[in-house]
Amino acid sequence: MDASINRGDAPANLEPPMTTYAYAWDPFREVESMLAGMDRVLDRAWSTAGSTPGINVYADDEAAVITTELPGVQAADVQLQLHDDVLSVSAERKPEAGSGERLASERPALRFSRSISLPFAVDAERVEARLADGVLTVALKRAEADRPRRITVNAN
Amino acid sequence: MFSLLKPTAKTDTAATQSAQPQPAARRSVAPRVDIHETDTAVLITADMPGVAADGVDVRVHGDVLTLRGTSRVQEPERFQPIWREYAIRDYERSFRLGHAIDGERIAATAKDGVIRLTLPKRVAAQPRRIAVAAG
Repeated sequence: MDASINRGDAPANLEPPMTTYAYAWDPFREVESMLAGMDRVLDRAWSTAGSTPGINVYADDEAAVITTELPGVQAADVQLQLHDDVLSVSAERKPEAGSGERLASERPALRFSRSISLPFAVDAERVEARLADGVLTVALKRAEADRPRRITVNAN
Repeated sequence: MFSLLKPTAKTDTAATQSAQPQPAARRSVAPRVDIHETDTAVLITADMPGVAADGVDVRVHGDVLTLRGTSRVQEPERFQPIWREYAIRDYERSFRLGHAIDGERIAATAKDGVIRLTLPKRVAAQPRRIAVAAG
């Protein structure tokens, strides 16, 4: 590794040691090691990727949770809009006045806007959004009219 | 310019990690950082979403500073993930300190998922103003 100032490369020490094949060839192990390799590639992509934060969506039959990572963003700089079953999120990280000489600058300027199609219509009155430690969590409840209804079957 | 911070080559991370038991292994990723140098200190700013102050671990071992962050975020339990663009990760990154840094006085703060380290320079390494006598 060269001796220049830190760049975006993930430190080599995060990688697990290479698998050594002291025994017979094991195809499962081969696949596992391949998957681990892909993970490493993704890690690297993640740590040097551009400025668009990823979004995760979790849901069950009655509710959905949407999360995204917005480090350094203030709650006042996040806008959420709900239109039918589409949630729009936009956020901005205000640039900081860094003092002194800049030796490394990997943190991207953060300004993004995304629209997410929700798995169902939601109740606009019951949306909760929270920004904590740089993670935005939006909890949405499925609209009553959209919920699956259980129909009782009567005997006779 | 001499460099105060150099990327670490192979370090003894594996050894230090096995020394401290960790809960169910979650993968760590290197956080993205900005580094600034002033006359009196080097400042490291790291994006570590999900990490609160109590999840930050800063260690200096020899001339290597290791910054670790444990995210307090968990996957929502009763839900199914239906769309996933990122994985919840912990963070780890090491920096090699130049001799100008006073490893004893490193300070860290955490706010909004951003960790800030202040690495003060030794007084001897700070620029000194030399008074010019008139006459």
